[in-house]
Amino acid sequence: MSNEPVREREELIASLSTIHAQSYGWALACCRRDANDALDVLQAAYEKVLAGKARFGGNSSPRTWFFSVIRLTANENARRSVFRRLLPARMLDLGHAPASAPGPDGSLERERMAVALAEALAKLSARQREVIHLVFYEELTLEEASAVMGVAIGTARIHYDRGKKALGTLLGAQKEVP
Amino acid sequence: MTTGEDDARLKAHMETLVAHDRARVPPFEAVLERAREAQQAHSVSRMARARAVWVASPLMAAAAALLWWQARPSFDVQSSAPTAVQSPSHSTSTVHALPNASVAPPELSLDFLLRMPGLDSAASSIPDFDFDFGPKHQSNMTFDPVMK
Repeated sequence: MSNEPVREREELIASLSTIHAQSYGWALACCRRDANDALDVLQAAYEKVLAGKARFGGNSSPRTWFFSVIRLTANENARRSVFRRLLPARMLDLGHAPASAPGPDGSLERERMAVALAEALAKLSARQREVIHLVFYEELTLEEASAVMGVAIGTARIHYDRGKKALGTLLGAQKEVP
Repeated sequence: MTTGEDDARLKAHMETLVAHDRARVPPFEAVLERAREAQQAHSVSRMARARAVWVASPLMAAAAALLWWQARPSFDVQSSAPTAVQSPSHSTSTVHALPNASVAPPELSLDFLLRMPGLDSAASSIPDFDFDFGPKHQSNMTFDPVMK
């Protein structure tokens, strides 16, 4: 029936709504934590699903598939905005939402840790950043992460080990700086 | 520090980042609605573009044909004589040429072109080619209709 693809798409959208927060986090990681770019990429990814340009084949989980769509969309966006990026470098965007006042439960300390981690992640290579984010932030397995990244699992493991080592060094160095 | 401790420390750091980002997630419905609007706008603009091409293509082809027809070179030679008028002040047949009377172009021929300044020397500089299509060449120009 002609309604079948539409119904499948609606079901897919419904399942994407359950992973919206994770998708936003992944879009942030793909856009070097630029909140505006991440929102644009996420919207463009949803648009591809709505237009039927991105189709879920059922070979993987919807989350792995949609993360791949986000990653490809972010790459397209980056290519398009190459001239925009020649402008003065943007600041690391962690103050997108209004900053909350530090609470008594140590939220200031958590904010500081989040900023430190974001800065350390920004210093990693793109592949290392991707695999570390997918495994530690999104809690995917290395196999799922390699599927999202479009690389072999061995390659993903190498990037994971190197990224973890580099991130540990960077976070240790940041801790030593007063 | 062991690998397990490293992982735990990294995980603790990552949880702060996750909490930081989760507080800033835009609502799903709002993002989806914007995506729907953008998709509809794109499809409408695609249709409008296709319609514009559908309408404009024959018009542009007709306009191009008209322009070509008007600008085509004409070699019609009406007359080589200047246009003349009869002077009203004289009864005799004094003929004056109009100052802006159009003079018909000379007949276009190869001799005329070669007499043009510069062209004769250019023509003389063209080397002579020896096109020899003797029997030797003709013997190679066979055609076998049943050849596969």
